Amino acid sequence: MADRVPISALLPDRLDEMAERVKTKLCDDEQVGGMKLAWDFIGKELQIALKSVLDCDLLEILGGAWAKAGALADFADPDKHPPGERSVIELSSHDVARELHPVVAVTIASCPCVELNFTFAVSAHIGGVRLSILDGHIIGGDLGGAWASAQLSYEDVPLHPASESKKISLPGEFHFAAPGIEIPRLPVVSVTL
Amino acid sequence: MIPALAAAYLLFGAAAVQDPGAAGTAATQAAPASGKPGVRSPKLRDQLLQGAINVLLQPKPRAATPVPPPAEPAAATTPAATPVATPPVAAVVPVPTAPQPAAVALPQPVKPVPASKPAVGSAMPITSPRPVPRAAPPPPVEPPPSPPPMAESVAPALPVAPSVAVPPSAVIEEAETAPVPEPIEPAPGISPWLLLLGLAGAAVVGASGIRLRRIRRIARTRAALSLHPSLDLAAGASSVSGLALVSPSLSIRARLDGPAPQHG
Repeated sequence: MADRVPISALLPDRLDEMAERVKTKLCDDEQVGGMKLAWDFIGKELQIALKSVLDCDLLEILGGAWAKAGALADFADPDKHPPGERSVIELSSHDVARELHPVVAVTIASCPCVELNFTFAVSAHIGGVRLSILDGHIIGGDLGGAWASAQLSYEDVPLHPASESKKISLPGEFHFAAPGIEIPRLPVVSVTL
Repeated sequence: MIPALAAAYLLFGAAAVQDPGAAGTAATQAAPASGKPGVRSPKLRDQLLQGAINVLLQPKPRAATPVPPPAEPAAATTPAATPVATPPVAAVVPVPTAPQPAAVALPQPVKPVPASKPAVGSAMPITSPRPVPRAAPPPPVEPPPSPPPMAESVAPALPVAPSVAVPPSAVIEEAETAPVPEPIEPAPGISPWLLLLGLAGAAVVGASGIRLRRIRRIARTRAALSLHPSLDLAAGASSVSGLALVSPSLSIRARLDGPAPQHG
């Protein structure tokens, strides 16, 4: 069974550019700019905060992407697949992309709070997967082979080279907590064939 | 310099008195004859001349210039012999046989010395100091502070015995050798290890000061900083490319029927 893999594991170990960008943003406030702060320490604290908020299971992220694909929309129709019916489907090799937007609110002393909006783009390549569906929910599956990477950006500026992102392989079975990942009845994701 | 030249002239004159074989030598023609020609010793003359030249070549006078001891014949040709260590003119050093220097002008002969005279025309080596008229002592010459490269440059040109400044008196006042200039040494009491320790201590103190300032800055920043992260999983775009069903789906339905109706 595949172990839980947090998407924060895709972040590189060092984010030196993040401290510089954040410093530029925060020093727009003259009061903050006049303070003698340890900006490298602030950068490390920001990195820790991002890792804590990105502590999500990568397989749940992928499951959400599969659930919203048009190919699984029929399994949400109770007329076609009544409750209690267990279905197993096999998907071909495909790619999944998912964007997340973590936000970090920074407050320094008595200065006004500043929100830093980041973009965390996750990319995964799935070699093949079999999914188990029950009552319109994806309850688990079996990965044939998959790897994932991610890119962190701030104001559309990458904070690290793409090559520095870690690649994680995801073999083995997996199960989602009951009731599983709900499949919307109407497809909301465009499928590119 | 001038006293040294005067001393050289007097020396040459004294040597010329005892040097009957100076004919043909340019040095004998250069110096005017101050007296009737007498007994002459070419070897003594040469030795005295070399000593005078060494005196002239000294860079600066020396306060106390001990007279080097009488040099051995073997040592006469040693380039390591320090012509730098020039004794004062007041000392007389009996010089053994030395090779004749090249292109050295010898002075004219002077009055013969009433002391023991060698045979006319003889080339006997001088074994005892000979009294000569007292001349103005040349200024004391100090050896140069550096090791004697000068000696090496001078020595090949003037391979002579240890320098001789022939004084008028026949008494050797100092027999000790000229001290070799010592190499420059650090101030006494300060060893290199102490210097290294001092430098290391200064570096440690500086690094600790920088580290202390950084610790204070981090503490000040930590006290003033507050972070609140958040993430909305529902937000954000999602896309799947190339997804397709490999085979028809498999559906399994299970039910539990009641007991079969009984007839009868």
